Amino acid sequence: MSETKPTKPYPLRIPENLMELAEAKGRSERTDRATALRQLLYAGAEGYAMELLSRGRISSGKAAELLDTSVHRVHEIARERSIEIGANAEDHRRSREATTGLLR
Amino acid sequence: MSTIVVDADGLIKLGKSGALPALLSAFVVLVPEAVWAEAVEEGKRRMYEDAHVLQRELVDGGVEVVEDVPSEEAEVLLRESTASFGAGERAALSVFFVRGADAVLTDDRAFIGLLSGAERPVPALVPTAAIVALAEAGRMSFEEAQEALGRMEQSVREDALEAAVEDLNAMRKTEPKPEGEER
Repeated sequence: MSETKPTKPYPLRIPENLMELAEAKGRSERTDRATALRQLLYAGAEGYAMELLSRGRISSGKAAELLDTSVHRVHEIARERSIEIGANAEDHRRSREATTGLLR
Repeated sequence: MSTIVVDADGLIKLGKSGALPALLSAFVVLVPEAVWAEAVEEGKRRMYEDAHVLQRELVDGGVEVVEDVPSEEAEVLLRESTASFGAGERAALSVFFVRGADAVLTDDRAFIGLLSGAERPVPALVPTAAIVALAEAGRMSFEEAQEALGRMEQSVREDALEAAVEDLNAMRKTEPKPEGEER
């Protein structure tokens, strides 16, 4: 997880309004348009990964791998976006039943 | 003593609660190498103080860091699942089967779904349930358990936390009071 992720070129038609947005972002953050576009893409990917995580379609470890970050950061993103992840009350009850006697 | 395998999600959340030392004294805890990498090494690399605390508590508690070994039973379960898992969860499942552990500590919904849906269900120990169980077994006092749950407020679902507090309060009501104390 610690190495830089490889990139590959991909041909893509980008709507002019999004290109304008990337240019504005690039100007305000003093970066180039391609970097600004990648940052916007990543922000969208982060939101989608968190949605999949909250629906139980991917695990937190998988979310960390997809976003090239740590499980600690995945928990942080969930808190920042007020997304509830993790076991619910029903899971808690099932867990209590399934693990009865482990400590006796 | 029962044996549990941990994933990074469950480990990080229980670490935040401060209940990890109690858990380590009550169970044989197995940490797969991939989980150690996710929860400790990767966290430290990205400057999470929690990761340093985790490392210290795990080392002091004498956990066994287990080599990631393949398990056919785990592979079949993972292949048939509609959800996707990271290296840590995959390793935790394999270690559970290979080492014949009693439960998996996790708070991950996708992973809990996989464990409970198995033909031979794998017991999932979620952090809120672990804290209640530790209090029931006298490994933590009522107050310590209450504080531990409070520290997880930002990390676990509200309804799971409420269910755990209810369990804890119910447990306290049924505890015998010392002689002479009013009920």
